[in-house]
Amino acid sequence: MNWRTISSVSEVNAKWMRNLPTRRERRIWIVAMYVCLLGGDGLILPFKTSAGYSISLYLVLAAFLMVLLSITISLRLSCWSLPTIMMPPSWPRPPVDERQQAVRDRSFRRAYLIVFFGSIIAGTLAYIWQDELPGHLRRLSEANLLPVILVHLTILLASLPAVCLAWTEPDESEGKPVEEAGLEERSAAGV
Amino acid sequence: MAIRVNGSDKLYNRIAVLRAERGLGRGELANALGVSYQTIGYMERGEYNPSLELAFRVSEFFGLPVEAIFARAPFRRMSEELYGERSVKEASR
Repeated sequence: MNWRTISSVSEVNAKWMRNLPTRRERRIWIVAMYVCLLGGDGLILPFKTSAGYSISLYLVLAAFLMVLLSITISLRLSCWSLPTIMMPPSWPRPPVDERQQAVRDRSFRRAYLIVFFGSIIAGTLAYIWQDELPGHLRRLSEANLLPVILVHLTILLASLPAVCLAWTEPDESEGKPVEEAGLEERSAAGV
Repeated sequence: MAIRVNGSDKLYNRIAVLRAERGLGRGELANALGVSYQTIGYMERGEYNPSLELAFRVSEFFGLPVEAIFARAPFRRMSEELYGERSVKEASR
């Protein structure tokens, strides 16, 4: 993808951007999405056979529609997050410049922290009120698996950033003489 | 979501002045640099510090050295630099 294509796409993107909902509207949207999702889940679990089941299905459906619309907003903001990562490298990507990448990285970091603390708090609360848990979750607590899962999840989430870093960091070339960057390429090119 | 720049990390720049001087819109400059027009706005307001690579692209585009466009201390006004502080004070009286 050359700069001309990128710039024309970013121009279209800029036009979209002007029609972006306000921050307040977007926040209401997000809250409504999670209320629908949690409300739907909360209704499905205890009222599997009652009339609440159909309401909960509508709520979950509404939540998923809002998820799709949220992805549209993230497209408008040129900050594709998960869809970009999941796409094959050969597919065309939106023109994301370095600032947008930095914004995306920050949002990932925040999302990770929310998942980290959220899952630990949720797991701890589930452990405290294990008698109140619905069906399949109670089976986990009866088998005494809840604290095990909680500890493993905490260790996994706490170690994951360091593990990713340790996995990807290249080796330092110890004792190698200092070389000018790009010297080999230039000598190969005969410059 | 704005990228907040700490006081000590703040980088001052003359992009807005240079852009106005050349009669360029944010979109035009953004197209030439291969970034979004919002990024130009963020840089002009000092809310985003560009990478070294982008800073060099900006300097190449304007045909000026990097230090003429970016600095760690606030720039003096162009008029002050051209005509001296005294003449500016006299003019403002």
